Amino acid sequence: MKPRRASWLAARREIRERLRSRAFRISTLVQVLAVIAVAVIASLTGGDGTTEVKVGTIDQVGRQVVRVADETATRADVKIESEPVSSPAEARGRIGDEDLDFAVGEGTLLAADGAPEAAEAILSQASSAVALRHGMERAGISPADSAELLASSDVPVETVAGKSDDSGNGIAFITTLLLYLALIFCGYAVAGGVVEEKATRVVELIINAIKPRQLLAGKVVGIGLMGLGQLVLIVGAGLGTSLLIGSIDLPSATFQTALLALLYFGLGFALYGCAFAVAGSIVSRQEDSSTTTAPVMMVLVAAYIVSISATNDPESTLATVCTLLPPTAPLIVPARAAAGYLPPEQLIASVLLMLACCGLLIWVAGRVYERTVLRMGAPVKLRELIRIFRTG
Amino acid sequence: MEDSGISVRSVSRRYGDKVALDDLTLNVPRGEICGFVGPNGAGKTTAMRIMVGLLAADRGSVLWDGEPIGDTRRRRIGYMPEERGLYPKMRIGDQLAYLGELHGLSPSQAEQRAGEWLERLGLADRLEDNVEVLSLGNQQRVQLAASLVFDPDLLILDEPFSGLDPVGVDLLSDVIREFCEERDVPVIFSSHQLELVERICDSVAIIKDGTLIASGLVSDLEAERAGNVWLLRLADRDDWRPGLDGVTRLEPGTFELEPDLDPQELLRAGQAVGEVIEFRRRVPGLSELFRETIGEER
Repeated sequence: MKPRRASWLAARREIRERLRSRAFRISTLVQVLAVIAVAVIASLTGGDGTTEVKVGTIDQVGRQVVRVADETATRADVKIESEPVSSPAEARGRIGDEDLDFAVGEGTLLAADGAPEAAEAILSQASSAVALRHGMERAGISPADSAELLASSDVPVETVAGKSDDSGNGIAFITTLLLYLALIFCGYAVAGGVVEEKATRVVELIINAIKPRQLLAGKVVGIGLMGLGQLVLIVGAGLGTSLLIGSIDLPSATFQTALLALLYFGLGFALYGCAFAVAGSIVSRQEDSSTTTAPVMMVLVAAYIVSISATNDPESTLATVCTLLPPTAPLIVPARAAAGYLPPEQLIASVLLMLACCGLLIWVAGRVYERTVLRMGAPVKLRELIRIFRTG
Repeated sequence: MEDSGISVRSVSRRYGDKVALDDLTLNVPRGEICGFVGPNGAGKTTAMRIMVGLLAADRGSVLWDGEPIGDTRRRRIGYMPEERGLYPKMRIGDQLAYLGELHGLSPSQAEQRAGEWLERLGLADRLEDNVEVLSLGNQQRVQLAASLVFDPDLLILDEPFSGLDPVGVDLLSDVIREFCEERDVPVIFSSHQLELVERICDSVAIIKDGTLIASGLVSDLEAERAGNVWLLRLADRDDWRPGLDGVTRLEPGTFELEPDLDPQELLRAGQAVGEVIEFRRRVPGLSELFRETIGEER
């Protein structure tokens, strides 16, 4: 049998058994629902950034103020709803009843305590503009001239894109967390699967038919594909929900982040999956596996903590170093992309280093696995592992 | 030494300081079932694991039809490990089909064979069940099916009957016997149930401390060891002693004669004192043979 077919058979078994497993289906569903819930909650609480205010117009001037304010308000994501009120007294009463946020007219601007400051600034500016126009009219300046004068006082605003964009930080955090969880789940699945095969001696039947490396490759690829599928579902559900609700402005880097997350899940899983496989292959019983998976977990947890802190400052030296180090790269690279700062040359260097490191680890894992997978009894000692490489 | 079938040639293996196999030589030709017996720790499992290729020999070789067993031939060995090996949470039908495919069957072939073997082993209605919900006896049937599903050219079974009820033993031994005869493959199985070995095996290999101490066809071994021991029973006379030279009474009614002594003399002596209701040569069973050979070595 061709090696690829042998590995594929082993991978297919992993995929089929997972799809058949109720635990897997439920955990996938729970994660998808959780992401959808997060997206919905974010849209409800954060809204779309639009502030709605109710303004009472006391007189003709008040209505003019609202008209002027409307233009600026749209740009500032403020929505003004206006309705006439008969007197300042009524306006005060309704503001007190929290029925109105503001009232304008008769030369005053009434604001509720705690009313949105942006709206207040817009209304106050509009009031000044209207007052100014009336003042100019009284000074004998024709309406046309006063309009021209006022227009010339508008200073054009040019928006300059910054390097980092705060809105990406939330996405960065979620990406890192999702990748971290996916790597843990899949890593443990690999270690558990390897130990199960050893503990139940199934491996003795399988090794009779295919080579240890083929079995290892199949297991890692199968579980990895399932993890990737799960991740695609979760990310897709999150993005899809946000787009459907349409109320969140997704940062522009979101899709790029999602693609990078999938790529780095693949690379990261090749790395951690092999490490977990080795941890599983050197013990013979499930009870012992927690001892040997612990070092791998520690590296992963440390990588997560470092990545989270580096994500907060994506331009720092720490972030650059983490991008280049293969154990931390899978967690930080997509996060930095989300946060909006990932120089292309660093990305390329990171991928290359990742690939080299994965190649090395796959070789090491294959070597250890084929020498330890049939060993039963006490866990293989570190000294023996070193000997595997010394003696060849 | 014959070239057909499987041959173990001067195989030795140590675990640290402990000698597990010491110069073991054994041959099982095609179409023959060989019972592999010996006390606990004699090296049976080690020998079988070396034959299957799960363990390397320190010295010696395992040949198949006179040639070393390479990867291709190894894939043609049906093996049943002593500690059963199946995925607990996998359906038995899927499991057998998977093993079949790993051994080179097409998906449809594998599925068909899995169904056929489960049918033959009385588990046709359990196809969809996970291994872990089956009784131990049924798991053992599945385990045998796992070793047969790809039509192996050689069958190595480590304690296939341990823990089975008599019905299970009969079914599995029939299946093994049939498979061996129909496909003309060598079968080696280890067992502690000597009556069973005697009943289904053509030949037997007794090992102790990693060394072969007796082997051959069961009938030959038994005849070889039969000696000049005779049973003679008289009606109502259990305590009879013949009083002949060269005759030792081993137990009431059982007499060992010196090799050149004619058993007819014993019969005549018996007839002289009463009615002889039984007179025959006593042939030792395998259990006795086993105890004797192991005892001699001790």
